[in-house]
Amino acid sequence: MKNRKFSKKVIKYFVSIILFILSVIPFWILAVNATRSTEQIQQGFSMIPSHFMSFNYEVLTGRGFGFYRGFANSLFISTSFTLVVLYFSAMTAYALVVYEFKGKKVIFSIIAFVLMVPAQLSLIGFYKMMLNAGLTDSYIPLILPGLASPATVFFMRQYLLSSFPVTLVQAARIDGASELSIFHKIGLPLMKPGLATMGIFTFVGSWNNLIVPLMLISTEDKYTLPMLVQLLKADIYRTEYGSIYLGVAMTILPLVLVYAAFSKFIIAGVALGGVKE
Amino acid sequence: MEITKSKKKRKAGIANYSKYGQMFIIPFIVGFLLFQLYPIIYTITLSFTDLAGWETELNFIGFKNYIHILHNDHFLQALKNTWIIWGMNFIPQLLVALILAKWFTDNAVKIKGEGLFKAIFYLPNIITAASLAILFNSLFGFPHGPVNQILIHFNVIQEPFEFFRSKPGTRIIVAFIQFWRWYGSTFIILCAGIMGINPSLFEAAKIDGASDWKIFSNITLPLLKPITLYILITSLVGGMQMFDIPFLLTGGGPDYAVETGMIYVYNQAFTGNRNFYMSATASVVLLVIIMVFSAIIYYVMNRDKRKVSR
Amino acid sequence: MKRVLSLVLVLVMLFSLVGCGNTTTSEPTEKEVKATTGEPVEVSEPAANKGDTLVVWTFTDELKGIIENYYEKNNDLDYEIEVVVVPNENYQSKLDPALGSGKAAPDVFAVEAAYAKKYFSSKYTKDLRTMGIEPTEIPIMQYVKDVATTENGEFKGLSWQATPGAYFYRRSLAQKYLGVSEPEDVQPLLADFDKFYEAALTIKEKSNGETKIISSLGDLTKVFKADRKDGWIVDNKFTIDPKIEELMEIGKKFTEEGLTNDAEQWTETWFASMSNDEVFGYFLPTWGLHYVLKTNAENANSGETTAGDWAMVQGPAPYFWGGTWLTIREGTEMEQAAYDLINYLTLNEEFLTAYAKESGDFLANVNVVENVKDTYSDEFLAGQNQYAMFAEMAKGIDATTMTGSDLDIDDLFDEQLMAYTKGEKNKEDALESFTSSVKDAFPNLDY
Repeated sequence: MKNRKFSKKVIKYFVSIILFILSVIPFWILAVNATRSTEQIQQGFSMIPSHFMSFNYEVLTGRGFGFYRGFANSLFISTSFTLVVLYFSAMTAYALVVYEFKGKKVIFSIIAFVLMVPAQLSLIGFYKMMLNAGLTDSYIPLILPGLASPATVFFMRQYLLSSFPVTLVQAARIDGASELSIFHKIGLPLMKPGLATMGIFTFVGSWNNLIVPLMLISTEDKYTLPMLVQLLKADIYRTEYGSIYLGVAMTILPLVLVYAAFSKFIIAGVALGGVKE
Repeated sequence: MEITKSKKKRKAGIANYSKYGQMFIIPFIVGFLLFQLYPIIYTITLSFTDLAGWETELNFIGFKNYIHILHNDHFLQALKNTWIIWGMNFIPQLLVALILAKWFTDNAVKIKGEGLFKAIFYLPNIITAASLAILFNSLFGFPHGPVNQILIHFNVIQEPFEFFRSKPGTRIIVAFIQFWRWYGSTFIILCAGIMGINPSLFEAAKIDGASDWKIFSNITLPLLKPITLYILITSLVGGMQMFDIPFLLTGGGPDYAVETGMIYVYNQAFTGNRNFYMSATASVVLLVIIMVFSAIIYYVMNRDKRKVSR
Repeated sequence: MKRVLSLVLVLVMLFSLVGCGNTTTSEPTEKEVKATTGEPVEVSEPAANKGDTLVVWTFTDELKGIIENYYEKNNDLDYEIEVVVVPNENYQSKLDPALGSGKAAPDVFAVEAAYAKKYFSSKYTKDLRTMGIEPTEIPIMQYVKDVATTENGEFKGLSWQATPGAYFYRRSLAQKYLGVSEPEDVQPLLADFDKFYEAALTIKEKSNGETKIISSLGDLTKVFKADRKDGWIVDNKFTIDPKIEELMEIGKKFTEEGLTNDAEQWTETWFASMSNDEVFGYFLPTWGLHYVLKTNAENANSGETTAGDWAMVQGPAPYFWGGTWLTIREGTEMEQAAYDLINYLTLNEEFLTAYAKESGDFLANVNVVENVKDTYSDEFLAGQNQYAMFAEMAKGIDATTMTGSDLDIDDLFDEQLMAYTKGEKNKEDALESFTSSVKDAFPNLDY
């Protein structure tokens, strides 16, 4: 028995380390390329850092556009979007699991349907609508659509179905709490692990989103970080790959930090068991 | 079991609260109506017209586009490619994620640095597809890319191999990137699901002397059904809409080997004559395919669930 | 949520550009534009500005720099100029819906050669003749004007630059393998495609396969296509010029006999060979000399350089590659300002002379080119006057085979060219796949 456990551990280590390397390599290459000159990158591949980082940094920040401004913009958009998605998806999923009401089945079918709609199919007319509504160059179309995030609702519903103790809600009602405060004080805390999971995905998606803001935003003051990095490709006849890599690396860094913060949440598991019977 | 018990209770005590349920979903409905309903209807409408290029007038032509597209070899090939690549990516992805999730939620085989490993697996997902495409392009570059150099160094091949001129080669690379990008998130979702399961169930089973594998297959897996259903459906939806990696890596080549349904949709709308009608029709066909298969999955899994909880 | 990223690229407002109604894209406002070649149109002064900002869209920061450093500095403007730079790969997908709806659209926008005709032949660009710019009366290179002239004789755009292409080769390698190194001796050896092939064989043999005349087939295709009589589309009919089959044959020969270095354009090996002896020469245009060849002639790791060892000749055929045209959006509210900008950037000889001297950019304005061309001598080319040579080459360029669909059809063709030359398909299958893929993308053409 002990031997089996030991060999199991060895296999687990082995697989984990291989996957670990596979996961880390691209970050290493990114970091290395951020220190190499555009010509070095163009002329060949390398795993060994070079010494052009400060040059790349100058190119990156010396374009008359504010890198930190872009950072602040991205942070604002992604945080707002994520909060909107999480709060309202949790609310919707909670309603679908805790309450019985007319039209519940219809709502769930709509959610499932929207989930299956190829995303471009719903953004087809989306851009056109924004043009007609005069919402170009505004952050509204980047944040408010978070109100209806079918994938998150679907996930949270599935999550609640497998783990939510509805009895707690009834207990709170007996104590005289209002429905909204039950949602806030009992529902939301219990959904934390699920929300953290979805929060990461949402934040990463929004942070890396390039095309939608690129289509909608025209004023450079409002540019997001990926847009600014993308702008480096618009150099005269030549792409500053070194600076792009540095820009990508700097774009990813906050994601890694946010992820590290969130992932503790997930990894610790925020014991649901505690509140269970 | 827990679930059935609480379900009964819920039904009994909640009838008066239905208006709160409706109130709680209002924001979602508003968001849906504002940002999603109109665009969907709009696309479906387009698929019944012959709108292309700079034209702006809608000219309805009935089901012609649908008849045409079902005889279009390019589109059918694109659908086939999509399924092949999705299958090559999803099956290993789910298996690996399940095994990892089992290992990493099992206290019996704890290893050092578990939290770190767990966190790292998701990282590939953070890098944008555009950066990944450039990266893999140079890794598998021809003739002097690092993969070629390594293979030649170890005498696996004698001559440099042009990966992106080989159909199976390119498909495998695309499937691998997809797998590698998404197994981490599938793994995290599964972990979240497993951790949501009441630990007392595991403890009880252990006291009864059930083996590891038995606990996993008889308790964990069935209770993971709702989450697995989520993964299956979102992966299918995502897989059928696979676009950025094959598009950015080779543009669909060599000779259309990794041209997916969505690349077809994109090309029809943005290149050539900009045939919006074809693009819209192809999107709707994709939607129908996704719906049919999702419905099948949903039905099959729910039937199972009923059996289990009884 | 999953996969959101992976869709994002497509999601883009597919089709959003359509059906947006022609709210502000008014019909040609003042005068009727006659639709026959050469016939005079009614000319009116550009309408007065109705807004306070001139919005300019472009795909590189080149134009932005010119506007900021020259135009705004040297002119006292009573309005703002807002330059929006959108990288080329996203440019058209942002531009098209904006043009279609007329909302949040630019007053002046830049277009690249690869897709310029698509916009010139649309109703969203203004005929410059109606504002008094008559193509026959301005000192701009003929091919630059041809690109902007539509089938109906409208004149839709102007450029400050011209981008003729040349063949750049290594003097030392030429001396070693061809026995001569000066441009006037080398050009006769490369003067047509048969001779080019002979030279390729010689170089490969004498170097024992160490040196190839080109890096990849892709280097050759642009030049070869420029030598066609017919473009891809003639009178709305899809056409395959006999030259195309010839290209397939010669491409097959080059590939099978190992006359290329097997490294496609813009790949790592393609760049790297600029600083070593693997490749004899490159086909590149004006900007390619400055921004591609010069920057990569030095090995970025070892510091070894081939600078000073290069020379330029025409090679088998005149061609051009790239180039930026400026055009005014039909329906702009800043007509006068748009007119002034284009007029200044392309026809103000004082500005152009100063700009050419500072940047070395090759211009489309023949008067200015005549004036400045003899002042150049490039160390990189061992003292050759690249400006005077480009001026000569520009005269031979024929842009009449260009169509608005070249970018897409070229891509579809190159894929099959590759499949054929690499031996994956026979010629008939490759041509059939090519035609069928064009049909799929352009069902509107005749076949």
